[in-house]
Amino acid sequence: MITGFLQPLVDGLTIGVVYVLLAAGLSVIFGVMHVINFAHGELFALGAYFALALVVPFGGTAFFAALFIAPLLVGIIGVAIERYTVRPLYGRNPLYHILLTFGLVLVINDLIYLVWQPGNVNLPVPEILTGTINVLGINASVYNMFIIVFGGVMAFAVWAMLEYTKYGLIIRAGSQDRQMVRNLGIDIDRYYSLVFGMGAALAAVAGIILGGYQTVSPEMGMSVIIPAFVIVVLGGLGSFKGAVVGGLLVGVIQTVLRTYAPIFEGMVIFLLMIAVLLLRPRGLFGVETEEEGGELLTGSGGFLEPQTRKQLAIGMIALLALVPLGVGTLYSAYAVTLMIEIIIWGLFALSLDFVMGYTGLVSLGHALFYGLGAYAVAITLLHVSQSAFIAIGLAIVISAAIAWFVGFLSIRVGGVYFAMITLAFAELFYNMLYRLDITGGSEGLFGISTYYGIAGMGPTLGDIGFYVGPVALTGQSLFYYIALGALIASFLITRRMLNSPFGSVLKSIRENEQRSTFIGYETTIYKRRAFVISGALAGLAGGLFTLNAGYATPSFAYWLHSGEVIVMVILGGMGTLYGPIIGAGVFFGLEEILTGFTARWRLVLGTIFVLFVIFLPRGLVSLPAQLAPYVSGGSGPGPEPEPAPDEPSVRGDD
Amino acid sequence: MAMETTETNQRSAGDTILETEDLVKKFGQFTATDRINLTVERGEFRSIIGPNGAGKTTLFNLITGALPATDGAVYFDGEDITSLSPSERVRRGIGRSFQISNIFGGLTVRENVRLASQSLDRDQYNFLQSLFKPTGRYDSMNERTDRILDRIGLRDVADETADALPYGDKRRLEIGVVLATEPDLVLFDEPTAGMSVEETQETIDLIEEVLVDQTLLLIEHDIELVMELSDHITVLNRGEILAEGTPNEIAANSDVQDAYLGGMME
Amino acid sequence: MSAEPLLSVHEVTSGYGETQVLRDLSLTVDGGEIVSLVGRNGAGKTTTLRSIMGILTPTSGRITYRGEDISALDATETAKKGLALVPEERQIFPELTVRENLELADYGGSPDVDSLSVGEALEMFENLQARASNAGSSLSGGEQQMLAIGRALVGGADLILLDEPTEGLAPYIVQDVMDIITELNERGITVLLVEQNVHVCLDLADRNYVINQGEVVYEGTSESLRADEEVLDKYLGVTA
Repeated sequence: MITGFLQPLVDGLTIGVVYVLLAAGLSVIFGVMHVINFAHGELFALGAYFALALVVPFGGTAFFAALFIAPLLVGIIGVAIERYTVRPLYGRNPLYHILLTFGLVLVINDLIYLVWQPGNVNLPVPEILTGTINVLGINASVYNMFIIVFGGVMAFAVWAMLEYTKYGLIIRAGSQDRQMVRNLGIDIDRYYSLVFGMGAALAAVAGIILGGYQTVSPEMGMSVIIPAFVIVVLGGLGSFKGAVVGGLLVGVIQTVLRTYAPIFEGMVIFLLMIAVLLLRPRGLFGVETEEEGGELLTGSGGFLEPQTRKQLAIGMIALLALVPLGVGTLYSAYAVTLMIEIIIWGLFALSLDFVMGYTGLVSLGHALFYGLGAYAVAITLLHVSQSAFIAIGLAIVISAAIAWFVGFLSIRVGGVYFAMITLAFAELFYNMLYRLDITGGSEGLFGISTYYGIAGMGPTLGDIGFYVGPVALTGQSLFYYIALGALIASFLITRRMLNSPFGSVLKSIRENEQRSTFIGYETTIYKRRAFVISGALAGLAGGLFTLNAGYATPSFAYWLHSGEVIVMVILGGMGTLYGPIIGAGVFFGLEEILTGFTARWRLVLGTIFVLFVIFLPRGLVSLPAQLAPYVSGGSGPGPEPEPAPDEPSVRGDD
Repeated sequence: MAMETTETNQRSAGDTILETEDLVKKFGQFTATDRINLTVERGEFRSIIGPNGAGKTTLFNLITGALPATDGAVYFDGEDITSLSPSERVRRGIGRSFQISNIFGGLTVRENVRLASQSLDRDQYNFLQSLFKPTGRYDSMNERTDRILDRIGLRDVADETADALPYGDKRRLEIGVVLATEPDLVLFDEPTAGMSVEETQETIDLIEEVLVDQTLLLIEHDIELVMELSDHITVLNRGEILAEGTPNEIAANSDVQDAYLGGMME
Repeated sequence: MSAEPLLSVHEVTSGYGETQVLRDLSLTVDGGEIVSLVGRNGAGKTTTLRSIMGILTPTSGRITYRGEDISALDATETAKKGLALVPEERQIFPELTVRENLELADYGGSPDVDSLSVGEALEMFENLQARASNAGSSLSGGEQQMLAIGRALVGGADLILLDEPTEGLAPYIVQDVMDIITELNERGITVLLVEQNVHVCLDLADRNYVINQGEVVYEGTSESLRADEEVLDKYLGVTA
């Protein structure tokens, strides 16, 4: 009986220790530099692969050498990442670090695929660590014990380093008051690289020991990063103690649930995180820190005259309307399929821009609403009604309702915490999709058919066809017009809203929320309404996709999707509505072109995105205004100056 | 500390607009304001002075709702507003102007004023209207916006981005935005900080000209200015009211001399 | 006055963003002096200290220390040259112990060899000695002030910029702080002091600058300032 319970506990502690090592670095990096490092999971995976590269040629005994060499190499990579990509962004809104490190995820992950190929590989461990030993009357695997002891020693060493060394003291002081550390004549900026490198090395150690326990695969980074975030937020951003307690807690809870209540595995930790954030917004051991300043940089419009812009827009729409006509003569039907995808993602990106670009709320879980829309359509069509109109209507209503609920719980916790809580909700939903019967588990839902009408009256797209000479408008091409219509309508509606009293309040919140409050607006309510509208539009996008494609899978709600849609918004230019649509076009266009050359197109895309975040944070739409002074000899409006990095502690109260 | 009591209720009507009752704010161990009882009459120009850390800005934050009170109550027009949110207080007629220019920098001058003006009217139309009817079609709101732009002299630059205004005009806009919420009581936190003598004078002239009907509550460091402008002065020290009275009474008060003005004459 | 002052601030304009707080402000401090800056709130005293320290960079003008131009240096660099700012809020690291606060200062500061060791600093301030392993956040206002000064000493500062050292302190502690400032000066440390309490300044300082609206409006010894009722009345609000 006892052993039956102890076994999952030992397994849980094993995983927990790995989480502790992973989360400790994340947390300290946030504490000192206020950087949320999405690439931490990839550094973890890199550690495992570097070890693999050392162990495979030299055999299991090289494992111990690898345990020191690989983290060192990853540490050096960490230092380089800090120096060349993270550093230029200090002083900007912390969102930009999230975006940057998300770009790095794409880059590093594809590099791993490129060098080591997909698939699971075993990391050989030395003979001495295999087998079982008898501890306290139970048979435990030696390797489990090794992880717990070695990981425990590592965590202790980090704690001792922070507590008793000069570097540790400076790092702790830096996480409390950076300016005062500088006033004492200590160059805190020099220590940033060190902290980043150390965090990376710790992640690498975690990757190696977990690699020896399970297997090594290119996806391993992606699968640990979200639990690692949960731990860090749960424990309190910046708190080492929080990382330790949170790591062990999550490791044990996950493993015990897997044994006793598998249906809740992967859900409980998110519920726990949401609950903790709502009760103690700073986490279990977190301390109140100043929210980092720095505005979100919106795309600068106004380069062209309004009249020209209008003509350009009409021209673009006309051109888009012509696309299906060329099928069969100019290009294959695939062009229309691709365009439909761009349009749907353009709509999705627009929905995110409405809330991110106009109220400054960064939703890291927007795929939640896209997924909701998709599944709402699928379930309606399968079980309720085959009417496309009813399905889409329900998708919009359900997404809006859930958005209201999520917004109600999360909007009062601002900034980084809002981003984290939305991410948690999306992951919660993603895990639910896997486990519920009605959503079809990991397979998802498919084989869905529909008609365009109501109460059984109406055609299916297969029934209709227009034929004029060589031009044939059937199935996909007709849906193309439906999607295009939805996008244009959504654009016009949101634009109209932004020119209305409601929208001008949103803009005022983006500019200066405090002032908005002091001219009499209950800003939380406005933000929540914007979030609901945004959620509804994202649901529409997801619903349209499923309507056309005839399936829905859990991956729709995966966090990578949430990340990709942010990439599109930034790429195009946030706070413009049309920028994100352009961003979606560029994203898929690049993918299309790049996949012709390499399966590792995300590497190129990620690199481009990283460069955008660093050098052109206002997106593509700001490019003309940025270039104008060089092209036309200075007649155009100059580029908007980047806000100077200033310390939030500098105040004018003499 | 003995309060130098002088008759402050000189108005026969005794029409109180703002009253705080034993208002306490603690930050952890630290007591920022300690049982403050402040009474402000309608139409009065009241200044609050005191050394750094005396609790002046905290008191403002308690009155406007930016901070919740630890204990005590705030009454406005006889109504207990202690538990109301900042925006609800604005709607009841408490306006606030900020220390550093605190406008919507990326929006136009007109949008800045209109937002404040819109806040007043928003019960007059339903939610759908507020979502879809363009701002340009709300006549009364736009007329009021234009009137205020005229009064603060920024009509000509109404379509410029607020960030592009010179410093002095930003100050005017700031006051215009407060005015557009049609407050009965306006709280000013150091409106002349960092200004030259001429700029200070211009700002004061503007406040006196534009906000002639309002009750004004001012935090100001420039004693000269305070002495010249105020009907009454409240002196705070270490979170408590040290003295209250007319400028002449305050100037003659020995406690004030000691605690605040430098304690030269012992 | 000696030929070359220790610190010279020459026609400095500085402020926050667009708000210019200092307007062509000039002052000098000689080695071994205690110089005070007095003026009302908002006059620009703290801004002057922040500009000297390098937390703010002047938009024009020149600041020299030991003859070297330090106008463009940031706070880390000026600290290494021997300047130390004891800010108004003291900025003790709340989660570090008293000893750790001092140790940190020891890692930074100027490479001066005769600076105080952590142990010596703890000896100098009895209250701190007893609380050496308590967290910074547990200290009283007076103890925080001592610790903040202690950090400057351990860092080996030659010129200490003291911002409102007596603010918010009980009268008997004010006297303690004044004694400490005198002691610093006897150790050969130069002090530039910002105070709202004119009383404290006149007692301590060799020379005083009166600042108004970001400009120096008066300079003189404590005796002459004490005698100048017009300045006292006009700029400091002290009526006779």
